[in-house]
Amino acid sequence: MPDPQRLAALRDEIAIVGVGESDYSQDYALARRGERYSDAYGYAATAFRRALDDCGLTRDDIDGLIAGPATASERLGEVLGMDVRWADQADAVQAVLKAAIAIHAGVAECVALVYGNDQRTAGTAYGGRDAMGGERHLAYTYYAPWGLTSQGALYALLANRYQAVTGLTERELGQVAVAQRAFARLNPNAVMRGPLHIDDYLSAPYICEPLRLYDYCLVNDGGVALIVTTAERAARLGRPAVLLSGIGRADHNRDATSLRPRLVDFYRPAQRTAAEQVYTMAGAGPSDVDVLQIYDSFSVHVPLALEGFGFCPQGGAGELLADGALGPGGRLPVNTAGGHLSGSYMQGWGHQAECVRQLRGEAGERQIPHARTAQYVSDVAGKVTSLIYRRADA
Amino acid sequence: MTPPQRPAPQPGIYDTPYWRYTAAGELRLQRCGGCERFRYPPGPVCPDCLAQESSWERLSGAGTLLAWTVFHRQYFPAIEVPYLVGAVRTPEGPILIGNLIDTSAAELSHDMPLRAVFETLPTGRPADADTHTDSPGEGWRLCQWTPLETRPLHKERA
Ligand SMILES: [Zn+2]
Repeated sequence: MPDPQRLAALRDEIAIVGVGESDYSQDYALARRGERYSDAYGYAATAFRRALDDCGLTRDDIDGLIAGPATASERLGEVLGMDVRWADQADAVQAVLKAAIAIHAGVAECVALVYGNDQRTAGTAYGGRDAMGGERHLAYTYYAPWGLTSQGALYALLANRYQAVTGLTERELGQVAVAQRAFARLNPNAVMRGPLHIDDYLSAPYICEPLRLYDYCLVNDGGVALIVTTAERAARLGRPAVLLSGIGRADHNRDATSLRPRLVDFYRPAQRTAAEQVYTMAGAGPSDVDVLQIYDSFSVHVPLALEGFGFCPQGGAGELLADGALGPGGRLPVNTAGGHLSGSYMQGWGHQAECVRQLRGEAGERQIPHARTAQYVSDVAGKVTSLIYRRADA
Repeated sequence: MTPPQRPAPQPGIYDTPYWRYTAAGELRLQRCGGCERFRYPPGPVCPDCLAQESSWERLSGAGTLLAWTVFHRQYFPAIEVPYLVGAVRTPEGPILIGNLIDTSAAELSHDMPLRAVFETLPTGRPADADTHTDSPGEGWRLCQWTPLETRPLHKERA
């Protein structure tokens, strides 16, 4: 079992001191015109340079490197000209966890977490015969003879059952896309910034019913980098730091291909376990969270996370959504940069950057006033993870 | 020009018996020799008790509709939209995926009773088909699901 005392010792010991992101909006326009601007390593390099500038550290200070899933840490080390003492590869949330563990264990002091992806211009397949991820998640490719493919279809099946069990309506689910678009309109770097009304949502075509066009994430190119170090070193930098206060993780891989965790459990048991861990470690609860970032490859992640992490009772997400609680000015701001649906699909990496920007008070027009505690929640294919961040002076 | 074919079943040592049985019109899954639970997809050990012994046992062909989706986007040239995919809970335990046939989305309701039927469809051959002497060759039969009440023509019961 995870040791609560050891976890408590890790609380507020690790800090994110630098963030960098590529120019999503501009690069998307270039990609739409058929102009290939960069590749995964190029976007990663842009983000890394910006993250270094942001924190005031130099490349020589970096002794650890974690590469995102679309790049190899060895090649990334070569491209960025870094010979580090420790390196690894990870998805967004695992990257933060691994960096914290590595720093805590003493194998590195300043770790760069670098993500780059050219999924749009490279034509990465998220459905069809060669859908990516099939080797990890058999359900992505296993049912192709029946035409069941794409992660969207698996979430459509989930949404179909979930609506029946909880009574969530299409109009309520549509408020996820509407709220996130409203935030995206306040973010100059968001890819989708046109107005989106609930009627636009409801008149958009289904892709896999009951999910419509606006329930699906974007596919765009870009990069994100985070510089992670000790809270002690962060304090010496003399710049606003964001501390990692809580970590929660629980998997739900049993029966994953049969879709039981999605269609019968709605990932709830793993979410409850991860929620208990993250809140206990951080000494906080849902009511302390000022800004919530939820991994949203599809809109339906959002009601699942709201219920699974105790932001509302089970079956209560529809009411929160209908009240407009998630959008600008709402009482529970979610995915304040626009999320994957309207902001940028950086597979959870952008959500970490947004936590940091909000807690530093640097989120411009979309800034949530007095944000002191931010939480990230993801339930990607049964890997439920959550992080709680706090402002260093909070 | 040959018409586009459905994607081939997943090849592999664990899955081959499943497809051999469906080709013969039988729905069979691995049943654990230790705890007697059915498992799906096929695999090397029982996820419940880790026993390696198993036998391929026949299912009743009954099921209830857990969830469904209507595909409106075409992902495979051989499968025209719209089409229905359902997740079916079997009384034996496993949840199975299939197309819902001889019905329409308007006729569906959660937990409605279904029965398995076998549909012969042209699909691609799995990569290792030639290594199995009893390979069914050209057409593969897919285990599909249809509402219990309807009695479609040209289909046989599981
Ligand atoms: Zn067993």
